[in-house]
Amino acid sequence: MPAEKINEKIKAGVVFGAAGPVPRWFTWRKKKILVTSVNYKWKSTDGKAVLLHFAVSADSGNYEISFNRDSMEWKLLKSEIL
Amino acid sequence: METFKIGNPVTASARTILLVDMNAYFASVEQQCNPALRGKPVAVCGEGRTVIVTASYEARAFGVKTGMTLPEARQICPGLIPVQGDLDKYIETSLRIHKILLNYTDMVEVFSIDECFMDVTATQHLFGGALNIAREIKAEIKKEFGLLCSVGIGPNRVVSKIAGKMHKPDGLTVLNKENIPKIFKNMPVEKLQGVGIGPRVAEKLYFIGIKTAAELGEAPVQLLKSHFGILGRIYKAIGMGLDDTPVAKYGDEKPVKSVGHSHTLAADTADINVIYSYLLMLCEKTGFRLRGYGLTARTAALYVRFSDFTGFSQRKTFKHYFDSGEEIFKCAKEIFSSLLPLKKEVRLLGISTGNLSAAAGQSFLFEKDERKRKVTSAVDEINTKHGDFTVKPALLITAEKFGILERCGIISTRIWKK
Repeated sequence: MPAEKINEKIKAGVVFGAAGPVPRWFTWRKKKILVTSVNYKWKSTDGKAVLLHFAVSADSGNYEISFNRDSMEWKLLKSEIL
Repeated sequence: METFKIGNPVTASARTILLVDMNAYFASVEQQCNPALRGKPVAVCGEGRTVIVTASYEARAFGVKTGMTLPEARQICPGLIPVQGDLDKYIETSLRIHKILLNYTDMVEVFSIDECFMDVTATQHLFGGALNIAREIKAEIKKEFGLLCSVGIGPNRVVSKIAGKMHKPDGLTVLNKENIPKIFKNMPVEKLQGVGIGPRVAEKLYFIGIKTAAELGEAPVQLLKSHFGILGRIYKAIGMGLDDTPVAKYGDEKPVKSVGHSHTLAADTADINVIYSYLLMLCEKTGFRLRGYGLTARTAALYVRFSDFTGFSQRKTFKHYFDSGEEIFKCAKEIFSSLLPLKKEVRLLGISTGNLSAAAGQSFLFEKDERKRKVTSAVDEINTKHGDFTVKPALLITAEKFGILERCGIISTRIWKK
């Protein structure tokens, strides 16, 4: 199934370690999704705001979530439900 | 990819140059992001009706190549998985890879988004030699990103580039004065693609009886000059494995020579309002980047690809310099008017500006021009802070309604603004 664009705000449980934030879970549409692995991370900008992106896997599928360092908001950008 | 240029074919004092070449770069990054894609034929492309930018090795095994349309690729590889590319992801990864390379020398020249030259002549002794540096870089890139790269080691850029292309993926090849004669003896000239011998030149070389790199190096320079002009001498140097072009220091980028954008339309159209709206969008993006670089242009070039894949391109040099989207649009429209009335539907539009010169912070004689400049600066400020096209010309709404694909063009300003 191809990745679907979502672009919705989410709540995320995160460990802020030496290497920056590491998402452990997020809730989307009232479901709590446990992150089983962070596969890749990168940065981008939206105007002046810096976004941290995480490509993560969960039992339900693969997701791309982002953290806006200015607004402190988490978003689910893409999902690929298995 | 950048065109490879070679310097004077004079043997320089012994140098050790590495070429680090990321393997199927964009596709490999996507396979790392999504474990479900690993080991599968993946093609990275744009959104909608764009062509394949790169393909994974699994897709290449079926014959999938860069530049193919998705339907073409699916004919030869029915299981192909298209993935929409994300340039921010690839640029950020490149910048982080550069940091790894910079641990070994500051002579790191970014040749393209997935290739870097390194001159380790002066520093290799600190790290146990060039071969050890190459092994460490490969291991670090694999550990940090899960990505594979090929490294070529040679006495100059040409030879290291040839070495880097010899074994893929995950290759490590050393070419030196001992093994170059033997390898060049059996290397067909078409394998010299990427160091200045394109397919047409290779074909011409075959025609005059030159089939291998060694034969090219041994060919009389007069023969090569009679067929290729001044380039004949350069081709001979390539065949001899000679090149004294230095590796630039990291951060010493070459000046920007042209700035432009292209966009495949959401659907083919002959509607002039839609076409002009897209064109304005491209011109606005181009103007924004020009101003960001502090440049002005005097030449505008327009490229149009029609629904039957035929193309039209024309450039025009103007007396005055320009840097605003509106002015570029005026130039582009002037060129486009020669195509009217349109006989075919348009598939892709591209705009490019050249003849660049540093903007001198011009002030205007007439108040209306000064006012326009102030408005442009204010709009730039807003768009820089809040993102592209937060404020935009109303005409762009026509293109937005028709469908603007998420990323317009494949160049980000971030690659220049490290």
